[in-house]
Amino acid sequence: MLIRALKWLPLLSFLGLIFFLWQGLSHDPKLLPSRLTGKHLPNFNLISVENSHQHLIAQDLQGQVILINVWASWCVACQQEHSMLLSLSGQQKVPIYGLNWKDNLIAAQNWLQMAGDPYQLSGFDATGRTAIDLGVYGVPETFVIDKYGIIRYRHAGPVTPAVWREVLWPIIQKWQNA
Amino acid sequence: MAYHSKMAKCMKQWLSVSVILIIAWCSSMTLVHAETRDTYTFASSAAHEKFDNLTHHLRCLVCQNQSLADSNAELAIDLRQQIYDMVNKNQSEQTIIDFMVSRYGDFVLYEPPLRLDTYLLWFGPFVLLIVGFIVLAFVIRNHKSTSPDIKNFDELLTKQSHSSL
Repeated sequence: MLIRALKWLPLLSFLGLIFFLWQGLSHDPKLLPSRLTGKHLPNFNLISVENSHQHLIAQDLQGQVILINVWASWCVACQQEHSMLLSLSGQQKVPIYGLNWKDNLIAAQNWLQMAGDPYQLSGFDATGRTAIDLGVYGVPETFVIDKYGIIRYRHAGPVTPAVWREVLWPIIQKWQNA
Repeated sequence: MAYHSKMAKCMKQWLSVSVILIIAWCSSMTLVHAETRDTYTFASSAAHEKFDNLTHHLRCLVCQNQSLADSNAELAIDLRQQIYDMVNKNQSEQTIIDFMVSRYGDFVLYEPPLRLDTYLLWFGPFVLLIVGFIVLAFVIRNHKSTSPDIKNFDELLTKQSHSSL
């Protein structure tokens, strides 16, 4: 009886394996929750892309819910989300700050001049150190920061209208009303 | 005659087992080694060793299965620089690992930590191996009890060859 049952074991374990591998295909390994959610925005003081006399300083960003968008002029996905960011900045629902990552200052300035600047200010992270402190994997990434300077959410990948509608905007509203 | 054929069979089995083992061993030896082009200089060989150890045990987050030491990805270069700076400030390995984990999570570690929620990951394969052995033992025992007696089989064979002569 037992032996008979054992006969089916290879088939069953094979089917089990197929099931888990199949599941793995639809699982995006990049969608890891940020370790920094719930933690304070790390300290930084960066010169801005827009104006070398103006700095983007972490402490100055407290007092209201903001978005920090990590971008680069060489990043194709950032160019895709750019029009979305521009329209959001036009609606003035939430101030957007930029973190310019692994870029060339001139190239970054040219890009903003050509395509429009959705940011209140963009910090120029020349060494990549601020991005490391934020646990940034790549560009684009968008962080929701609450009034007290606490990181509430990280979105990896471009901000599409669907992402905005279904993910970011509800979270922003929640923390604006908190 | 019967003895010789048995010997040959046995030898054959051993040969195939050793071939499999050799193939397994060879494939485990083929580690990919990419070259990275950093030119870091270290104050001491201990610092160098610490740096090498750390970069080999931390994952390049944006690559498919590469350590920080093996990758030329932008992020890996930055993270190596970060580790280099921390090693130069004489910070301990644990401090540097904690620094990385607090920003990038356990994913940055090549070896996942041994915790209650990772027991299955660590011990699952061994459990499967034991289950496999148990199944194998059952199958062998079952096979022995149902297969015809080897001695009788040999006699039968000799008889047959005689008759065909």
